[in-house]
Amino acid sequence: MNVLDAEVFAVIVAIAIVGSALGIAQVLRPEVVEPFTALGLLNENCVIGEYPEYVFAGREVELCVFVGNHMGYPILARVVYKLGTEADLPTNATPSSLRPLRNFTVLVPHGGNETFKARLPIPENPPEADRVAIILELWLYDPERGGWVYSGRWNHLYVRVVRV
Amino acid sequence: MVFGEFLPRSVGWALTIPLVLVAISLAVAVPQVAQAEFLDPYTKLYELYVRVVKLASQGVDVGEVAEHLSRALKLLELGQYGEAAEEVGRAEEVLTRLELSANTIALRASLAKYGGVAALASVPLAVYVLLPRVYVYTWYRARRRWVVVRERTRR
Repeated sequence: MNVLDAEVFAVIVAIAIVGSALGIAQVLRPEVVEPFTALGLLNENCVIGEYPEYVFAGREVELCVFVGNHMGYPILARVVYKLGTEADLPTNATPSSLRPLRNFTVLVPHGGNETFKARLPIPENPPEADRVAIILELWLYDPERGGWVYSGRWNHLYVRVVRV
Repeated sequence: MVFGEFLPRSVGWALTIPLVLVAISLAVAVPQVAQAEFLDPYTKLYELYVRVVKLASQGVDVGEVAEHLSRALKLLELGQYGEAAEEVGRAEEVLTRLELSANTIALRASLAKYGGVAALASVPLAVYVLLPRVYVYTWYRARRRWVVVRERTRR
């Protein structure tokens, strides 16, 4: 007497094989498939939108900066603040040639993020332009080279400077 | 005076002045080196960060060290160097402890990972070998009180 039907048994074994293969793939796959970092510019209440349109020369403007890490290891990140014009904006490969006005260094664990308030000084003599760009660049500390490397991530916010 | 007994006074002075200058320059140089280390707390932090990344690549959970270093960075930004140095010290303590047990942690993690893979790989085999036996056992057990009746008797 055939208690367990052969075809039913074959289907069950096939399901077990497929399930097992999927499980093994999940266990063996690298934790981070596509590593990336993130840089975000938020307003003074640390939310998106309602950014300041005007800033005052010689004073500070307060904004929030978001740094996210999905690199698979903790990152030592430095947010570099520069003030320039449209012509001074960085690219994904090269940072802006402007002189940094302030740096903010944070350590972000893998899978985590860091949001902090940043007081950005506006110089007494800002660039002569209709609107200037608040530029934030993300630099990462390279543990192999032992130095800071531009990550290619940057943000900017156009503002008009009021000279008091 | 020793110099006076064997050497003319002028020669004695000529030897004494450079010795005094060397002593003064040493006295000035040593605190400068110590101060330079104290004034650049980031250097120590970078060194620890490199060790953290190395440990993380071995699969060790470095969350606690990262927390200490993160706190130290915030204190440095606020200019509280003393407290920052204390946090860095705590981070180094934890880091050293983790480094000592890194091999064991990595071995344990590998064993858990590949043990899991082996267990998953053996599932189809276990199904193939055990399922019919378990099924038949259960089938018969469920019918153990059944009575076999001859067809002739029933008539």
